[in-house]
Amino acid sequence: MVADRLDARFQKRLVIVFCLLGVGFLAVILRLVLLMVIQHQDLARKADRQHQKTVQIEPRRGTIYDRNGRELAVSLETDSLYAVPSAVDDPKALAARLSPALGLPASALKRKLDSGRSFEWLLRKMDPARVAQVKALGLDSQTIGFLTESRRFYPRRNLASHALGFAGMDNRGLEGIELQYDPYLSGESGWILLERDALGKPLFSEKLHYRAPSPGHDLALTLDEVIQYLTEKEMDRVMAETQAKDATAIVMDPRTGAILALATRPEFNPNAASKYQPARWKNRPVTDLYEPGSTFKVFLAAAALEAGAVRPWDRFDCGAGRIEVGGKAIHDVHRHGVLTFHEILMKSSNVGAVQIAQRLGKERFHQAIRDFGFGQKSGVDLPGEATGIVRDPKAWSAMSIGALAIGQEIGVTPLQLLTAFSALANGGLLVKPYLVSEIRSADGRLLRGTRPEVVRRVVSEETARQMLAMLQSVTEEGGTGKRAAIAGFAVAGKTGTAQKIDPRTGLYAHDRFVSSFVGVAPAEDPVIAVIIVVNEPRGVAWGGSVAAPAFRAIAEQSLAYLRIPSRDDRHPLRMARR
Amino acid sequence: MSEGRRKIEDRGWKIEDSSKVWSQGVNGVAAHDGQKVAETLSMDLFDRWRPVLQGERQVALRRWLPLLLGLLLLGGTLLHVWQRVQVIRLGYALEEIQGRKQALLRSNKTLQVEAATLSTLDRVERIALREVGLQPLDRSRIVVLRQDLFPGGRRW
Repeated sequence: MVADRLDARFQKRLVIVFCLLGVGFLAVILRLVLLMVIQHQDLARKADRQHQKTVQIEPRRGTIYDRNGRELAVSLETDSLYAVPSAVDDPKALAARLSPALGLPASALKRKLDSGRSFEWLLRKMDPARVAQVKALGLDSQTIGFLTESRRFYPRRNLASHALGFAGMDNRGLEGIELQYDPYLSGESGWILLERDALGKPLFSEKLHYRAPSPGHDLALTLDEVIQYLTEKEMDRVMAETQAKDATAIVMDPRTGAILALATRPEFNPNAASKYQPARWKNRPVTDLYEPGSTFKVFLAAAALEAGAVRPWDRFDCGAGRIEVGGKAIHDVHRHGVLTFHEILMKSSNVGAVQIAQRLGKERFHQAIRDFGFGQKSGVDLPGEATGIVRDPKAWSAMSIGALAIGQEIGVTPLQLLTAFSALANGGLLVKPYLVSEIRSADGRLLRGTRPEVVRRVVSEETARQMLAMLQSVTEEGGTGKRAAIAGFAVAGKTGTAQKIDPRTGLYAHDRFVSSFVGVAPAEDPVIAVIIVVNEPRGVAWGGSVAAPAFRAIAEQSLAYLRIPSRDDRHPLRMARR
Repeated sequence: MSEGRRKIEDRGWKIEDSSKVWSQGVNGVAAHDGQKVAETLSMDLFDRWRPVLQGERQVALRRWLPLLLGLLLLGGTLLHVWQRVQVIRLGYALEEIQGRKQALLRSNKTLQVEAATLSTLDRVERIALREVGLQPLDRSRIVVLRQDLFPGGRRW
């Protein structure tokens, strides 16, 4: 009996124990269902986040070369320092230690370290010396670390800064070629999914999740480093001598439209572009408009010759030294008497130019202006190109034809004027200027090559030839641009000295000028066309005094560099004589 | 005779007493009748179920087989673990080498850029004029040869 009772109690307890165990197991099973079925996705994601790390791989930004393969813009890998503020125990102490190494105020660093965020940049794209200094501190790798980023570097510093432009902190082009060709240069980012161990070190994974970055394409420019250097050096001299507000020069191959040099002063260093006022970044040769003054007479003369309104031997009475147009007088600087057509260009007579314009008539003059490409973009591959200002003849006043004849009441860019002048140098064809000659993939495959593009014929070959012959006299004795003459070479060009409008009075100022010279050499078979525009030089402001010497210096050295034989070199006996 | 039985007998095997062999019976046929069990074996069952081997060799094999399998399993597991450890170890080594390679590539690029920076024309000109004492060449002293006049010559 007792044994039976004990058995019954034992069995009862056994049942209770089993029930409790059953409930326990049930609870465990329910919890497992909750974790493994219901919350599976969330928890799996959290786990992945903890042991997986996606590392963005920045693509290499394409290199920019000059036309001889010299590097003008390259990308370098640099270290950027980040912090994990949420893991920093003592932000003040850490900021104090980092401050001297980073060259940043401790207070600014402390603010970042106090943020409590999980990631904060402390200093990006650091110099190797600073990186070494920070590493020497031996700080906790859980609170600060380095990430590799690509940094744009311009090894020639200020050289061609306006043409190249620059790329920003995120490696996107912000100005110049860097902006214009950003889709080609930037490439595509890649990524790699890394598994990490408990210490955060990457683990080798058998199945690599990886997308390779596509490097950016490389660009070959038409710019020539040597000609660019010669041009910029001359611009520096002009700026130093004339104390001008700014100065611009372009060197172009008139046969193709390839730009060999494009310089603006004052310049900037694209390696530290943010330290300059944004106004410095302006690519003035394509963005700034100016009234061309007497250089514009070239196009009036070409249009009149082409239209048959004048003949080269026609004579014009400029003896009065003034001419009335629309009730206002236009003066010459000196009285010239009777001048032939080509003497009007040679001496840059305003009175003669007005008479030529009156013979041509406003409709034909306006059409010629448009044909030469004024009032429309040249199509150069640079951002921010200005269209220019050319008014419709219906909006012209009675004086407009006289003003336009001497290069007023019109707004042009230096590049437009040089492109139009080049049309006279290449036999009458307006060509499209360009800066990028080739786009190549990172492995050197040619993706795109630029071919010279003829926009239209603007004058006949005969007119172009006659114009060049007449414009040679400008640089000869008695011409306004004789200081542009180069020994051994024939130079065809034109000076310009344009008054600027005083914004206070709205009238032409008598003490503010734009001095310019545009020309080609050698005149018999031009290989370079150069324009110099100097804005508000102090003291003597004549284009023949300020801009013509700069033209000569640039053209003379460029011709020697390009190994263009001079007239003397072409003499077969020269070698023997020496 | 069923096909299953024929195959068993073709191999010279003997069907033992059913109680020793088929304690669970087969496909609902009573376990005590070994012969009948054999007859009910389908081809698939024959392939999956092996008749008990006779003789001492077979008995020994039967005794050591689980141990052998256990050792194989253990060995396989150890091999797998060792392999994984090796992969991880090599992964760390690879990572380190990759890092060194990247550092060297970076250093190489930096040196190239430094060379480009040092060869800027203004610096070269400055050194030529101030340190070496060279003078700019007078244009009149340069003679450019026309290739059409000197077809055999080359431009320099």
